[in-house]
Amino acid sequence: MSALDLFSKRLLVVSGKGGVGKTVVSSALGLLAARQGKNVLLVKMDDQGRTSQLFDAPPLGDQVMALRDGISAVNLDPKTVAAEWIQAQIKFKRLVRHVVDSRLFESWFRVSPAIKEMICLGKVATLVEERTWWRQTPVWDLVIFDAPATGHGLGLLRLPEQASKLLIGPMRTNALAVQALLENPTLTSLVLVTIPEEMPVNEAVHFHDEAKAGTSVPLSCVVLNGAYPRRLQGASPAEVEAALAATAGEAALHALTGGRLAPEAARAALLRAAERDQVRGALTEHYRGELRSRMALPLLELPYVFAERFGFAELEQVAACLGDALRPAEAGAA
Amino acid sequence: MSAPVTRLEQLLDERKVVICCGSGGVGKTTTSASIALAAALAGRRAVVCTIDPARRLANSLGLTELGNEVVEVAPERLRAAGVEPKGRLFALMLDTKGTFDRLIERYAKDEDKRRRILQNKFYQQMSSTVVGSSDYMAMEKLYELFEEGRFDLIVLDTPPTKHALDFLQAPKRMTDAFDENMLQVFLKPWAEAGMKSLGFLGRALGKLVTKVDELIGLKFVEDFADFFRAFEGMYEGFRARAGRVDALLREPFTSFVVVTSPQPLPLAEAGFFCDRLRELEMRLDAVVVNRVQPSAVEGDGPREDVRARLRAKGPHEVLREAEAAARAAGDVPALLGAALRAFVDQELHAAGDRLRIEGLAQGPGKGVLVREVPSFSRDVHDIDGLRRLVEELFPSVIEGGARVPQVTP
Repeated sequence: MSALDLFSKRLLVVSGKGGVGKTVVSSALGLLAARQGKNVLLVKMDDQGRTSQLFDAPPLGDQVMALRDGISAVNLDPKTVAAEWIQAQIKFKRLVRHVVDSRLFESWFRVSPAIKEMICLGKVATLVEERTWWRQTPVWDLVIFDAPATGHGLGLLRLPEQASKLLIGPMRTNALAVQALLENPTLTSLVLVTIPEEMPVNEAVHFHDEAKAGTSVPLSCVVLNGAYPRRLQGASPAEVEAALAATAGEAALHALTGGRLAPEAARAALLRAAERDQVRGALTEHYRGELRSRMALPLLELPYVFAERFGFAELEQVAACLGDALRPAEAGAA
Repeated sequence: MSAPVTRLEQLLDERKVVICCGSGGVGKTTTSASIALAAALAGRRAVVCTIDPARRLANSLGLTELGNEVVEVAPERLRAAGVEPKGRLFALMLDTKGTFDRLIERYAKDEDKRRRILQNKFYQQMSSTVVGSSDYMAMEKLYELFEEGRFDLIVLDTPPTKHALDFLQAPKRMTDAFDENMLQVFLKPWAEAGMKSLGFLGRALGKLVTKVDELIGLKFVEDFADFFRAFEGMYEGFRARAGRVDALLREPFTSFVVVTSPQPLPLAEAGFFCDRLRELEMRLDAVVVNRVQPSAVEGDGPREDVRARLRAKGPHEVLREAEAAARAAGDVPALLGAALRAFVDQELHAAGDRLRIEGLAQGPGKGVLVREVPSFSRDVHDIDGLRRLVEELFPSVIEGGARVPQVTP
């Protein structure tokens, strides 16, 4: 078993159910890699403005755009990518537009199963292989693909294999090349993201089982995002209440609330907060246990970020935690 | 169009169809199920059509498999969760392919065409992959249930669409795809159609189209064309039905509820949804925000004071001052420090949720009922959890178990 050297890969596919924070995790991975000197490209599909918010940058377009030092991003628009691809295959450039703009193409594009996803996967592979013309070295050290949350399990990653069975000609060649890249463990790693909740954890386990059973997808680690700290370590309500009621507690609460809350009200509020903290912390512990016992994969934890707004400062915080989480895993495996 | 509801309870009495939409992972399925449960408790015959329920929730409702069959949730199951239904609750899990097959069977002109379509590779791909077709089939199933007329209230959970609008446009998209002009192209061989009608440019285009065939894989295109040929004669029926589905979505008794969580992405999508529903002139009745972090401070005034302090000084400074004050008065037990941090973190979290929800309520959600559900200590995955949701969303239904009081609009 080699070390969890995520940043020595060329492609990271970040996958997970909707709402688990894939955008934040892939952005943090990118930021961390960029700070370690990599030239990183973040690839999105259907970005809804969240990435630009996280980086304080203008909205992403279908052209590669620099976000910060060492990190760029692009939002793939399936139709533009498709037109590009057809253009590369056919030489009559003016006619390509006619085809792509025709209703026939439009309808085919809309109803064909998973064609958009397939075309975008192809584009991701092209970006990984892109080389500078002067030195023929890769343009991007690391491409991070924030995979869309499409339905169940492996869906998207199985697509090239399924497509290669259905298609012939250049599309088939293309699908096979994408499949080879996705299954190559020296080039590609798959990062699975989840949060400490029932559905996302079950989904992650399901994904893991499916990946282990029937495919060669190089699933490298699971990220438990939004792990809730258990600060009160199972102290009973009576113990918490006693600590709050002591002289030091009274003084602390007075300072904390600026004297705006009556002592009893302040105490009640802190007790409520303590109780919720215990419950949420215990839940995280439970699901951490589930993930550990049901999957044989390194588990990276990212703590819940408490902030009124989640912006670049918070993203940096997550990237720092990710760096810490990756270090022991590397040391342990070495 | 009558005014939107001012209380969620009105949904149960004044609407016949409630469609819950929103991005994935925000509790759409549980919200849909709790609306149907509330209706059943209030004395109605209600059915919830779910797309992809968590196994545990499905089991708890007694749904064992993707059957496309309406199953009654046994009253004993509800009683075991401490509620007494005055009406009846039904549930079903949508089977996309099964629904599509049934639609084909309904409109196929003869046995041969029916078989040709059902065995067509393109059809099988299209009807069984989640992409696109589940959107339309959810609408189709809704129409089927509505036509049967067995229920007072139908609640539809919708597939998580990346583009919030996909499913609303599904009937229209489907009819577009079956447009007569498309038919013209597929009924004749490709090249012929191109050359006859378009002269020189047409011939060039025809060649190009053939070339594109080769690129995308000729076999695929053949299947595609054969599918459309077999479809001949079915278009009218299919189109008319899609039109009726679309009309149902615009009935005054059809209501949309946007479900979201207080996270930035789902909220942005919820806002997008609200705008789009308005554009489409569909009735947006309410926004339900699940998993909202409650503030530990009671009373609006004191809560605002605490927030203002946190904002002005920053959480670190507030904590530092509190600990310094504690040290000055004695020593600081670890437990006290931990409780202070837990409190500050939660207030920050709650303030962030508040800020983002206000953004939606004052923006795209303006004029619409916005209801918040505090985050529960456990996820909702059984009837007991649904009951807690009903308590939050429809308090008067649970209180005394009485029928919902009539509200005069």
